Amino acid sequence: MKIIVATTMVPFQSGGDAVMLDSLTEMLRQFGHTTDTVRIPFSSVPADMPAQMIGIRLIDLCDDAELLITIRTPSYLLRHPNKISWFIHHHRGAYDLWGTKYQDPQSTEEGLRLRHSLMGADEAALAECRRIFANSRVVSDRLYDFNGIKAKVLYPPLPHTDRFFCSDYGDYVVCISRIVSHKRQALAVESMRHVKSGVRLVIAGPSDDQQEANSLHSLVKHYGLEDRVEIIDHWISDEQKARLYASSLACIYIPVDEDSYGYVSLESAYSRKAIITCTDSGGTLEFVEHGINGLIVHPNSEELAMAMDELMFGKDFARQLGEAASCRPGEMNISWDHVIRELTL
Amino acid sequence: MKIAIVNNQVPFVYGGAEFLADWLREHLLAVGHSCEIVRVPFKWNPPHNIVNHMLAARLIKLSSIDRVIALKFPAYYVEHDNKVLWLLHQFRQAYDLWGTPYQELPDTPEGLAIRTAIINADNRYLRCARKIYTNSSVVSARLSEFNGISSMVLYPPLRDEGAYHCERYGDYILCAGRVNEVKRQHLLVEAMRFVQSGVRLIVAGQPESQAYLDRLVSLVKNDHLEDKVDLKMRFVSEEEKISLYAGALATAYIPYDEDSYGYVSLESFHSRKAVITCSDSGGIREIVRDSISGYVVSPTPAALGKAMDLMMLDRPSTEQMGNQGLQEVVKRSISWDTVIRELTA
Repeated sequence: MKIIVATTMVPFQSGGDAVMLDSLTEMLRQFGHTTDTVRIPFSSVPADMPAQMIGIRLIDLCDDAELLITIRTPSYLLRHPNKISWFIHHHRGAYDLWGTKYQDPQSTEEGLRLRHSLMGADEAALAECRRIFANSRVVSDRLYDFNGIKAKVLYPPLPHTDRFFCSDYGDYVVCISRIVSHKRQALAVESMRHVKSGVRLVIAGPSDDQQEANSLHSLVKHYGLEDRVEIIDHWISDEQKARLYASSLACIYIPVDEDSYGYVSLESAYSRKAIITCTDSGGTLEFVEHGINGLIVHPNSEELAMAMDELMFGKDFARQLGEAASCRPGEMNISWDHVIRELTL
Repeated sequence: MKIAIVNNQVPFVYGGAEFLADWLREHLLAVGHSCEIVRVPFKWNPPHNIVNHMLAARLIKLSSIDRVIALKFPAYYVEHDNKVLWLLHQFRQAYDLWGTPYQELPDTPEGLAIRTAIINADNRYLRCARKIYTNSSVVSARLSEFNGISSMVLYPPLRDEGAYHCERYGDYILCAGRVNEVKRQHLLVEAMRFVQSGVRLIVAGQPESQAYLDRLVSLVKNDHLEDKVDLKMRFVSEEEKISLYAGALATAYIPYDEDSYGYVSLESFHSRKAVITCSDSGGIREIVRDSISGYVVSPTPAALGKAMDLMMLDRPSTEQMGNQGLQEVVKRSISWDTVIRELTA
């Protein structure tokens, strides 16, 4: 089948959605489909959104392919008679973050109108889709709660599972993702003040703004944790990443209210490592089961320290959780076979 | 600088403009810029789509980018304070092709309205660019004639200028590149009936239609030219092409009325080989001068045969013209250094 996979993007920013687009395109090709990708630049500044949305709507892909799969909001505005949405998140400031400090647009008359038209456009365009999938239970629920739209959960698999492996259960907990405040690397650093075992923490990943990385460094210095915490504040290669996971004791991934379990959970699982996460981390809670394949604790430094100590003092337990984690993707039917079958049905 | 190269996208089509964008990106990255390619879908059928896609391009918002380099209609309408154009061509159907069999736009009030919209938009928005470069003097002349806008010619260099070289001056004329009706390889094959010097012809490239391939093959067969003509009718790798150039006596490139000089002439001159071309070949006349860097002859088999004989019989002149060809490239500063300097100035 001739398939276009489309998304919106912010030039020079690359997140999970870009990985999803590239890996889906590649896998569709491996399954014998002819694919191309369309990436429309989109700025999420609310005042700029209506004009850009009209722009996307004007683009005609109707007879370029037999199937259009749209990923990031609001790429489903693109016109096509056989359109599918693999929905990954709303413009959250107008939905679930409305009424919080992350609300965007503001509650001015114009802001309210904007929110109203945003929701209207989302609902009209999603109603055109032949099928709608969500990348997590959280997102699927939100689509139902806010838009009354039913979406089947279709978990995104990892692009290259065979890259990850386990060599041993070492003395450090690893935290690999973009360094950004809502991933709470700072909380992980603070918890190192309380650990009683010799466990160390390795944080790795690029930062969108150097300020966040700098404040982590000064936190380490402030508490005198230089010999316990290592920060690699830049992009690391996939090989380097796999090696870091391979010798780690466990993985710590404690974002605030994420939509999905994130690639981090999968990378950790395929490296046979337990995942430490928090009760308020959102999507990770669909993946991690406390005491079975990881540990779920309250988001405070003492409890996180206890969780790390528990695994360091009880390496057999860490191994047992890690091995269970490696079975988790299978239990949740997270696989490319399943994804491609659903999307091309 | 953070640079976005903005280009059109026709899904599932990847041609010269796409490669040029890729190479430009490679060379921008090599000198330390950040660069991303942004592609905006374009469809011109049915014709009302043209105006929609013009508007779609204009409505795109590119934030946090220091410079935009736009290449094609209608992607070049994208709004940005610091935009330069490296114009590969306008929408010719509204300009020089209007009133010819290639007009494509319908001869109706609607067709005329679309043409007017294109011309008006060009007149208005092309002037918003900081500077306009074009890829050939033909494109510059058109822009000046139809829109009264001045521009500077910035010749596209080869991807890897250093790879082409001269090993020797052999006994064959090489015609490499796309094989089709407009490139007129059939005239070259027919010319071989007239040669007397023992010079041979190698045509190397993927034929674009079975019909044209059949035509070339039967020309060879009917005139018993098997010893004189070598048809390599297949994909030719970059390495093989470079080596074919390195050993050629001279080359031939005789398309019908092309806009630009074409990479073929650059490949030839970087290999120090003179070029045979025709008086009606268009853009290549900008760089190939008769009896100085090659021969410019009328598009007939007899004239072409005579030029090939001349190459074989007067070898000192042939070599000298080949060397002069390289000087023509140097004289015009056709290099990535020049391109990058201008586009980032």
